[in-house]
Amino acid sequence: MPVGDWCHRRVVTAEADISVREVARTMEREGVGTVIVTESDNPVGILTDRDIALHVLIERLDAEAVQARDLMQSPFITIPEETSLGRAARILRMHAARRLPVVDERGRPVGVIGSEDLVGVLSQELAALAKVVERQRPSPGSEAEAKQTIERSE
Amino acid sequence: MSQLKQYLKKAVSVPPDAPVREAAERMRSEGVGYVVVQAEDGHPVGIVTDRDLTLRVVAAGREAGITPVSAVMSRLTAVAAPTELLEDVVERMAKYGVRRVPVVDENEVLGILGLDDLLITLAAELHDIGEATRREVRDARRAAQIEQIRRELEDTFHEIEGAFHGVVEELEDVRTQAKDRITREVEAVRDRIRRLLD
Repeated sequence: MPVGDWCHRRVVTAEADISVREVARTMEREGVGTVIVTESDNPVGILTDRDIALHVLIERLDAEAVQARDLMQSPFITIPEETSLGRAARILRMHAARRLPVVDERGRPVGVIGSEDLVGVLSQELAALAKVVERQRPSPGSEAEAKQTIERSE
Repeated sequence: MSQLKQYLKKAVSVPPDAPVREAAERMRSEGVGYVVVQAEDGHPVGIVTDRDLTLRVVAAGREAGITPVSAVMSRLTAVAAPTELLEDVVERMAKYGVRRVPVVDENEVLGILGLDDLLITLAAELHDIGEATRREVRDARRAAQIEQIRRELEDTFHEIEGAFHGVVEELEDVRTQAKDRITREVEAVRDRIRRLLD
């Protein structure tokens, strides 16, 4: 199962030259914690609510004067939309990230995947696999079903 | 019982009158996404997340050096005891719509059970279980396939063996026939020579 089928296919963007206070308000309005920072429509970085909170508060920055490009993470980690869910889960864990942008083959963001999305899918998968295990030794009939389940979960 | 404990994250605490800047500093130095607001007597009264700071301080235009954490924290609606079962606590989180619950023993905060951390851990665990199960099923199928191939090979071997025996028998026949014929021919030649000599 590719991650592109399961992520939220919605991307909230912010122009690189807008103030981080404006980005914070966008996050509040859109109910997101990650925005893609763009420069003439090209993604150039990502900015999270955590980045804004820590930089602005600790470094005593003027949230009106500081722009999105000043605080964004660039380059940023992305997950190709063809990546399997299991691998996506591992990437999130490896980078201790709550959410990461999902990109198409040209590197353009098409959505965001978070750990909460993965749990739902993986528990469905687990339930399907549990049925297979319950059958223990597959008879010829249930083997076909087992095969289907495996193919679905791959 | 120890189940709950294994999912706990350390609690980083600040007093209610600490400025929000201090909360941000603790979040960065401790590498956490939230701090527990703890009253003087030790009991937890609220939680402040990095997101709260972005929305309630940066977006709202509050002054980070003088705004106390108590002004932007979410008041605690649920706590858990260390002896509780994970599923009971998760149910309480759903009921109160909270993502983090301090686990409290007497007045001491032992740690925080966070839904986000829990989800990441569970997702990884579920995935590992899924992988192991898939491998098991795959191995079982492979073993069945190997047995099938072995049986087919055995059948083929028996067929070849049968055919070989047939060929050997036929060769025996041919050899016997040839031997008989040669013997007869030799006999005939010997007779003719004997007759010529007589």
